[in-house]
Amino acid sequence: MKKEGNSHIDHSPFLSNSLSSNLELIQTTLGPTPDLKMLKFEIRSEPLTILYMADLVDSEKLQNILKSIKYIKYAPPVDTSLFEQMYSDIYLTAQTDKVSKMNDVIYHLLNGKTVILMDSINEGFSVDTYGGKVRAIEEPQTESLIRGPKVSFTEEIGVNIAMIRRQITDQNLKIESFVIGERGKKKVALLYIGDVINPAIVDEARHRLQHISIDATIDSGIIEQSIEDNFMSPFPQFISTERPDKVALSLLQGRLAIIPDQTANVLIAPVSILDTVQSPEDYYERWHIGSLLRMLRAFAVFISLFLPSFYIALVSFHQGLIPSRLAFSIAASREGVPFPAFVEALMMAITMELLREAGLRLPKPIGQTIGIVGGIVIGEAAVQAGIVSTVMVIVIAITAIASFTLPVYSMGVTYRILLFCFIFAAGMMGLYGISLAFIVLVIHIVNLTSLGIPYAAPLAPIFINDWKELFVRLPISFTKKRPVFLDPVDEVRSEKEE
Amino acid sequence: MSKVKYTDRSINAKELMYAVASMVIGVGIFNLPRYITTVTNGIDGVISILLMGGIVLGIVWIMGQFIRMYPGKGIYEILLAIIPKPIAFPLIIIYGAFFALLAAYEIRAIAEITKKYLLPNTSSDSLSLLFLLVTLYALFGSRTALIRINSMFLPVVLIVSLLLVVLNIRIMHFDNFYPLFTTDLPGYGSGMINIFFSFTGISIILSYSYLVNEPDKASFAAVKGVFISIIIYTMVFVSCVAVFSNLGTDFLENPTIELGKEIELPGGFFERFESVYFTIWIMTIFNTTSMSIDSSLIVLESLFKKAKKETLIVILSPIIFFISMVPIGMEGMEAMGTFIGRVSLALIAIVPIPLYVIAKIRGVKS
Amino acid sequence: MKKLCYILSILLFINLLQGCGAREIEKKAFVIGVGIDAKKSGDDSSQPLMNGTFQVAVPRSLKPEITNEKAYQNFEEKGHDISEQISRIAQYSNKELYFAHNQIILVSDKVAKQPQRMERLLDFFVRHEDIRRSVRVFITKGDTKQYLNVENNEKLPSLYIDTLSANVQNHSRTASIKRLGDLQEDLLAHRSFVLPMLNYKNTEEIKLGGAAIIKGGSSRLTHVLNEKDTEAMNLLNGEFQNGMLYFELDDDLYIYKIDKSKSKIKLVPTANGQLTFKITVSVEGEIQEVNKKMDTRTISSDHVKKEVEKQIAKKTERVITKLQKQYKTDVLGLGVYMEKHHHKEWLKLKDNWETGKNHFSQVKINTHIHTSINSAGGLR
Repeated sequence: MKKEGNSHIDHSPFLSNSLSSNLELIQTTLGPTPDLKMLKFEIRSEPLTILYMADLVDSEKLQNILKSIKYIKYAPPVDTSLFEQMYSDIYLTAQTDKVSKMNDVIYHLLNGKTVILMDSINEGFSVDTYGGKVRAIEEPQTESLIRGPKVSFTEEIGVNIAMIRRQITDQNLKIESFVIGERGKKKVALLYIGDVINPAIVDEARHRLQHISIDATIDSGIIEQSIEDNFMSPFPQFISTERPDKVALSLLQGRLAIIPDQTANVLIAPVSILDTVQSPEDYYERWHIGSLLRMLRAFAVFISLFLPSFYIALVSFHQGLIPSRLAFSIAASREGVPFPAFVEALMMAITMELLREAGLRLPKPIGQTIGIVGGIVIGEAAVQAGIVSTVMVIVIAITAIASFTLPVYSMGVTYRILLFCFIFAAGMMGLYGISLAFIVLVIHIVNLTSLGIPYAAPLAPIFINDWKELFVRLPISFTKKRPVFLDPVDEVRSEKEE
Repeated sequence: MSKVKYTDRSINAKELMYAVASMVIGVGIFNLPRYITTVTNGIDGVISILLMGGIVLGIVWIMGQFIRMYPGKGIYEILLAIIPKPIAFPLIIIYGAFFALLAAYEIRAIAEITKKYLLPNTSSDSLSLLFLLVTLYALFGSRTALIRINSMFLPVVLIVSLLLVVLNIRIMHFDNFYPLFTTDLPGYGSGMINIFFSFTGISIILSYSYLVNEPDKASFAAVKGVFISIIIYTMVFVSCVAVFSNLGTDFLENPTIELGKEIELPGGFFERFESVYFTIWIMTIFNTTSMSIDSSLIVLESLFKKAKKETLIVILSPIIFFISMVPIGMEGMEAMGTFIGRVSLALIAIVPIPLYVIAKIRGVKS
Repeated sequence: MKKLCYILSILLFINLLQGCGAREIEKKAFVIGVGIDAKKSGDDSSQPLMNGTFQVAVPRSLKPEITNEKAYQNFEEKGHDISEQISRIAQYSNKELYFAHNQIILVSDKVAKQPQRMERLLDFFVRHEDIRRSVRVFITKGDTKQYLNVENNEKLPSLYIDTLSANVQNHSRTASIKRLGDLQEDLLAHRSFVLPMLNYKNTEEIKLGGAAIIKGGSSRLTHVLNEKDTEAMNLLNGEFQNGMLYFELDDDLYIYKIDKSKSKIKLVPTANGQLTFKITVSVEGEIQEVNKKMDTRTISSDHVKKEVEKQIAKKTERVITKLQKQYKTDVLGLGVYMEKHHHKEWLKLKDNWETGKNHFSQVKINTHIHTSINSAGGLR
């Protein structure tokens, strides 16, 4: 299945019969650019020009073309025209398209293809010579793993798709291609397993992709933001990943993947709140470990959302709810601290965010020192100076550690944002505030959708069957069904009896 | 374009069940044990709960039958189909006003209880206002989502209720159940009437009748939902009597909250369980309140078909807020609660029965 | 419209921000124990004057590295009721007294002896939202003030008393620890009950032993049971948890350790209308020590068992007579049993149970003791 070109009507001029005027037009369109190369030949006294952009092409592929041209030059003439002969000859070695419009010529050139134009024919053809310096496949950097395939996506869409194809060698793995962007016209592929995913989800995604209006899609994030359901929500409605195995697993669940070109991140949708605690490694390890990890993550979510706010609520409002001895030691540690717990928590949480951001920006060796400096200075010195209480340092530290355990980075950020909301709620109204803030959060999640699928599924609407994968990961023989909340066409993973 | 099965704006039987259960469990549960122990001896109140529960199950079943007879129709349409407009119109007005009143009561009650147990230094006006604002946020969202929030909260509420009972077993005196069967008949009767306030929410299934996509299962689902609440009420009542004794319960303002305060988990951050407990109960009160206002809203929508939902919310919510500020002090609240209980007894327990008979007769004719 | 709503709610939100008062944890004075003493009335008020001692923890001194500072502070104030005392303390305390962590309430015997005093006093504690119903209540011999100044390895006297009560299971020589909630129920039902007694030993030690009998109706302290009688009463009540029994048998001293004890009350139907109760006490235990010559064998356990039963019967009978004839107070739970299981008959007896005709003194109580010896230690 292939769909190339823009949805709107193309008004660009067609190629003319004159080679020189064509070349002139190309030169004026692209302007004086050093990397546009034009090789002029003459075969059987017919002038022809080979055009390409210097660093966008693979030199080996270019050599191949030149070789076949050379071959034709010295081969005995045949019945067909030279154009047809060349086209059919090169067609065997590389992907070749005929072009007749000036815009297409430019588009192909800018996408690393080599265009061959001849005189007195108002048509040319482009040969795929895409290449040049690209990054090799590496281990995943941001989503490192202990067990499982250690490859990550590169910036090349073809390579990325191939990686997924290698995982799912199914005839029904469908790939739809779109070209998105006014200026940076780039390929975006939509992947799904045709007879698994609910067609409504694909329709929705296709519809949204077709109606993107944007000048250039530099990264997957820009596509994500142009097609998400609710831009006001702090929750990501697409998950971005750099791991092909994660994409493959999601496809098998009945989701789809959006692979933009020139970015190492692939988008997965629909997303549900459960993706906070789920990670593909759960399935690679045996189910005990997977279950344990999931429960741990659920606990981590709970901690990273509620711990500081809960602490504030108890310390500032409901001291009666703290166990007596603990209450005394907290009171002792807060003795002399000039700020209310709310301000204290806010200060520490902001410092934590600063440290995290600083550690990320700096080169790795310095980043580590930031961690140490932060840990010692903020932890030790602030307590010594009596600005912060020891218990608060512990609380914030645990919260930070907990928020690191979440497998999806963007979800982790969401919870960090929400943490501040909860701190405010607790600072205002204690437990009552937390309660209300939590209710607001739940209302928001229940109203939220990702590609039309409720975000809170399978909790609301409730799908008991999917709860098997909620906070535990049952053995594979128990989870033969794909997630019900995605309403897949093919509900059962494998019908073979064991 | 094809569709994912459940993304349309309707609710299935299971969601209806959750909605009914969460709607029924409201602020009533906080002093339900006291209402029963004042008129019964020992553990006899269980009989009142079960009897009233049985009656409520019957009423709810009848209400479900309306949905089966008139699938996809709103409450006003159902009423108009059964009785002439001059009767139906005032009835629907009373119905809508009743739910506005109930919502106001819930808002005020949660504010008073929060003030009493959590935030003594905050005025109850701002507490109830904040609560109302949160409710409004839910109302501005889709109605299906509002109903589905129940399925998110109810399991938690059930677990916490169960914990409330299990963790108190240590200090229960099962001796407190005796003497058995010493209550006189009027005692059982007034016990039943006192309990009915806690079952007021059942008519929610009529409010949401037009959303139900499995009308045949509606009766059964609603019965199951009420059944859940009967179990919870019984559990809470029995544990209150076991922990405080009948007389002790009678002297407590909010026995169920005191029950939560009794729990002391050994060691750990949550030694005092009530912190969790309070947080969870606010959620279920939220469910009740939001669905109550929504019921009023549905009535308004059926009367003013052209008005936008948002406009109606903006008009309705200040009214509810002001009603919630009307009762003065503890006695005012008590009086309001009793009034709501009596009105609901007439409106929700008694009215559906003749309606059902009329509907049956008419149904047979046509 | 929606936008207007948003703006409105944000404004309200900001308004709300100002209205709520957070009181930080270090600005509260945690009351951990309350003692109430009698005080000679100075004015002409009909209500007796009392002296309240409020023990407040000083968290700073509780840190493990600080050893020489007093970790508590006792606020003392007189007044007719607790609220009055608190409001007076507020005049010179920089922190607000906070009762949520209160562990114990001590009532001096002098106060408890005044009729209805207990009820009136405890009302404050039962009514207060912060105070838990699990607070433990003790009667002290003498003024409570001195008890709240006892300092030993536990830095907080109140917590020391509180933990004392956790050790009751090793001696059972005091009435079972009473939670405030249970106390309220007893007071509400106007029944007689017992409270554990505290005895002052020295500046470092307090002894928990004996039982204060609070008589229903007047709800005042009437008598104090000594430790031996308390033990026997606990056996009859089924509150006995763990304890020793010393007796001589064939010139040797035996020590029988009771591990488990149960009791059951039953009304025995009689022909002549005489109320007769049967209290069955079943005791499980082991022989812990026998002071005899090493080379003699432990005599047959049956023989010992009989002796144990005899000893227990002796103990219990003495206390039953004491309660029936001398104290005329039903702390054995017979009235409660009648109320719960023979409600109709009880309604007739109720008004004259402990007072007036004094049915309680006239009932016949038969005790049946069952013992079993589970082990005799490592020796045969």
